[in-house]
This record gives sequence, structure tokens and C-alpha cells, in this order.
Amino acid sequence: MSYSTISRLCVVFWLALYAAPTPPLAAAPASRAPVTSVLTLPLKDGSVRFAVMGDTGSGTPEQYDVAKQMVAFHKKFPFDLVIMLGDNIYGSDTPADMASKFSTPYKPLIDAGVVFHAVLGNHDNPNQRLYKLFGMGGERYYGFRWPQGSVGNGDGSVRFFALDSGYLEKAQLDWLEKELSSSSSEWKIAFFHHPLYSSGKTHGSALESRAVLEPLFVKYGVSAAFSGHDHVYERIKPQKGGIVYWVSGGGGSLRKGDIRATDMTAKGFDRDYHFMIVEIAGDDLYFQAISRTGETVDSGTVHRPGAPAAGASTTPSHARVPVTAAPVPPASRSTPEGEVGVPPSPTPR
Amino acid sequence: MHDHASFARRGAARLLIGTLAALWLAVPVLAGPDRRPKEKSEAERVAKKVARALGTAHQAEEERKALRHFQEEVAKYSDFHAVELAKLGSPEDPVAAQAALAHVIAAKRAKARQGDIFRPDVQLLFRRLIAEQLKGPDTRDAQRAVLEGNPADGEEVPVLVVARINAVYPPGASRSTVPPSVLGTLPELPACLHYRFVVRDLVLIDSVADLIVDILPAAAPDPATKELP
Repeated sequence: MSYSTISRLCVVFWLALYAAPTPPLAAAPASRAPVTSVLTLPLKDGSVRFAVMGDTGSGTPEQYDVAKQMVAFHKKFPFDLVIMLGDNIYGSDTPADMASKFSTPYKPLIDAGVVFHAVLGNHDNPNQRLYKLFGMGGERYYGFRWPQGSVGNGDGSVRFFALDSGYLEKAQLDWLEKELSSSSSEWKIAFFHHPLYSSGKTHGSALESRAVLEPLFVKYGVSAAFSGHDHVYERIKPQKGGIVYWVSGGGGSLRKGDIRATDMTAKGFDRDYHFMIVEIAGDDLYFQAISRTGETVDSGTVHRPGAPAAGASTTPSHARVPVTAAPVPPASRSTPEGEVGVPPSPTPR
Repeated sequence: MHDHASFARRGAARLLIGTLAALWLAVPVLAGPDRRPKEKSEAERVAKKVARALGTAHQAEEERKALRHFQEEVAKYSDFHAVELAKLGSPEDPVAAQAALAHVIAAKRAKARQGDIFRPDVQLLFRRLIAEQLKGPDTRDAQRAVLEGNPADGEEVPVLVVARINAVYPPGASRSTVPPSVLGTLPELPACLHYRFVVRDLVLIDSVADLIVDILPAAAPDPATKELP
């Protein structure tokens, strides 16, 4: 065999090894077997139901896949509200972009009368507050009660506080304190872009924001908070005041393997895109995180901090806010890659 | 005998007086070398303290003047912004409205120059205030917040932002988080203006037109050296 033949063989071998086209990362999960989409939420009469999605506005096929799952779950779990955790529109935001990155993928939900309420992320043009479908009423930060028209005096309604966490100036903090202190709703839920607690390697916890927001949350009885920014799913163990924090930043962007599990992680998922559905009934909040393929990656119940202890014996007496992990479908148990789970901490930190 | 006794008394008296006189003369000589330098060094310290106090008072007055100037300028801008915004009415398309407002403001402020609002004394004040919040061991999170959301740092697909007067903040470019500690320290702004960091520069940005109104160069730590200007 001549030298040139050997050289050619080497080149061919090298090309076969390294230069062969590889499928994009995001395509990998699609090759797995289809997963049966199981609803774990109880669908109680008169409950408040909403979906949560963050970092959605990429306009990529993966965003559309997640949107399709949301539509599919909407049929089983008819939520009438979606909260958007920021980075609603990446890149340019012309009317065509608003369509391709928002109103087209979620059209079935919009047509079904689902209302969206958004907050601003670091990639968002502040003028998104004027985009009607984002339900911000022209404000960077705002509050609303759900269901619409409820009065909030023990009627089972939920009060939402939408914040601009990238610019927590005094006026906003003063507004938040005033709104929180005057709210008569038992459930107070805050949502904003930058997470106060996160095990994401890329961003992690926003400590300065935590220093100014958490004392208000604790003082005025916020029960739960949702954020995005880190492109993963993470449920944080109950923190000060028993507040449960979620990071849900994988609605249209993903950072695979970005969670470095910490002792504050109750459950993490960084393998695929996802969204959440939530149901609030009485003193309990039921949650389910669902991947792009319909796999349930986390689910459970949070008992409202400060509420009388749940009567069921499943409530651990040592935990101020029990977070009960519901049984996870076998499909997700059998695919541990990308999932991070840490047993609940006995005491909230 | 009488003379001898008298002589002895006089001698004793002289000895006593002489000893006392010697002591009186000796004490300052002995004590002097220690006490005088102490007093001198203390006097120097006191003089420095007084100078510092007078300097601070002067600086405080300068900073009050700078702050007044800044507040007057942003108030003027706020009025101007309100007038121009009102002229636009309430267009349906927010993006088009933003572009129209930016166009009008840029045209009317065509002669605006860097430092019109952040004039040199305001820059000194702002640099001091920002340094207090971004310097030291407890400021890592604030520094990270400023840098991580910045267009030039950590973006998957970076969008170049050029800090230039009357430039529109590019659509899709990431915005820095302005840490609450920095926002709590800097003078409050009217709703139409925001502070943002573009790399290390602090920019004053029209929050509706998304237009850069003024720039304070190199106000944040250098990402490479982590040192403040």
C-alpha cells in the first residue's frame, strides 16, 4: 500500500469520525419513544388553574413543540391564564417577530380565550409592556387577581405580582410593599425573570434582588414565586417564610446540563424544554412540570405557608411547608439523565 | 557658734534653692525631647484631620451642586420627553411608536453631547457612589449582575451595543441588571429615564424611546481586572 493510499484512508477515517454531520442537540429527545402525557393535577371544582412558561420567545421548532404540549394539556386541564417569566421575545420584535415568536405558536390558546400576563426579561424590549397580548397594561410591574373579577376576601382567588427584576428601583419596591400589605388574598404569587434562588451554572441566584425582595415576601406572606432566566427547570426547597421558588426558563431556550445540584434543589431538570401547569384549590397548590415530549418531570403539592396544617397524615410535622412529591410516571423515572433530585430538607432555610 | 549655725542654715538654703533651680531647669530639658515631637505629630494629625474635614465639606458642597445640576437636567429631559410623547398620540403599534419617538428626540437633541447631563462634577459623584456599591468583598453579586446581563458578556449570540448619544438600544440586545444597591444609591430618575450598564459604561436611557441620552464612561469594574476606575 502506497503512502498516498494510506494518507487517503486516514483522511476518510478522520472524516467518518469527526466531520460527519451531527444532529442538533435539541433533536435528540425527539428520537426517544413517545411518552404518554399524564395529568397529575386533581382538577378540583372551582380551582384556580394556570400555566407557567419562561424564556420562550426564540421562535424555534422547540418552542413550537412546547406550545403544542401546552395546547394538548389545555384540553385535559383547561387553564385560563398563562404567566410568562420574561425573555418573551428574543432578537428583533417587529410585528412579524411577535407573530412568529408568540402569537402563532400559542394561537390555539389565545383563540380559546386564555389570557397571558408577562414580565420583562433581560432580552426584552421594555416596550413589550404595551403589547396587548402580554397583558401588562403598559406597566413594567403590575398586579392582578385571578379569576378576573374576584374580590380576594377568602374567595379562593389568587393575587399575582408581576415584577421587573432587572430594575428593582425604589418606586417599584415601594409599590410592591404597598400592594402586598393591602392584599387580602390568601394566595400571593410573585413572578419575575431573575431567580432569587437557582442552581443554574450560567446565572444562579440573584442575591442582590433576593436581599430586597425576600424580606417583603416573608413579611407579607407571599406563598410561591416563579422565575426564568436560567434555561432549566428547578424546584427549590421551601426557603424563608416557607416560600417555594421555581425556576422555569425552558419554554423556548435550553441549557443542557446547566444545573449544578445544590442542597436547595428539590428537583431539577435540564435535559429538555418544558413548561408548568399549576392548580390552586383551598390551601393547596398542585404543580406539574412537563417536558417538550409530554413527560412529567416533576409534580407535587405545596401547602400554603401560614395556612392550617393539612389534615392528611402525609404532612410531615417538621416541615412548615410540606412539599409532597407526587408519584412520577414510570417514563420519567426511567430516564434519569438530566434530572436532579434531592430529598426535601427537613427545615426550611 | 552663732556664725557657724547661721552659715550652715544659709548653706542648706542655698543647696535647696540650687537643687530646685537645677530641677526646674532640667525637667524641660529632660522632658522636652519626648513631649515636643509627640505634640508635633499630634498637631500634624489634627491639621490633616481639619484639612480633610474642610476638604470633605468642600466636596460635599461640590456634590450637592452636581446633584442639583443632574436633577435639573433630568427634569428638563422629562418635560421634553412628555411633550414629544404627547404629540405622538396613542399609536396602535408600540414598536412603531417607539421608533417615531426615538426619531423625534434624536432630531431635536442632535446637538446633545456626551457629558451634557453627566458633566465632570456629576461624573465624580456617580463614580464615587457606584464604587461604594461595586467595590469590596460583599459586592461580588452586584458586579456579576452588572456584567452578566451586559451585551458583551455571556451572550450566546451577542448583539453589539455601541454606547453613543442618540443611538437606539439594539432590539434583542440583552440588558444589564442594575443592582438594587446601585439603584438605591444613585439619584432617583423620572419614569422616562433608566440607568443601564453597557459593558462598563453607565448610560442614561430613555425608557420609552429606548434611546441613549447620556453616557458615563467606565463607571463599572473592569471585567478583566475586577478593579474600579
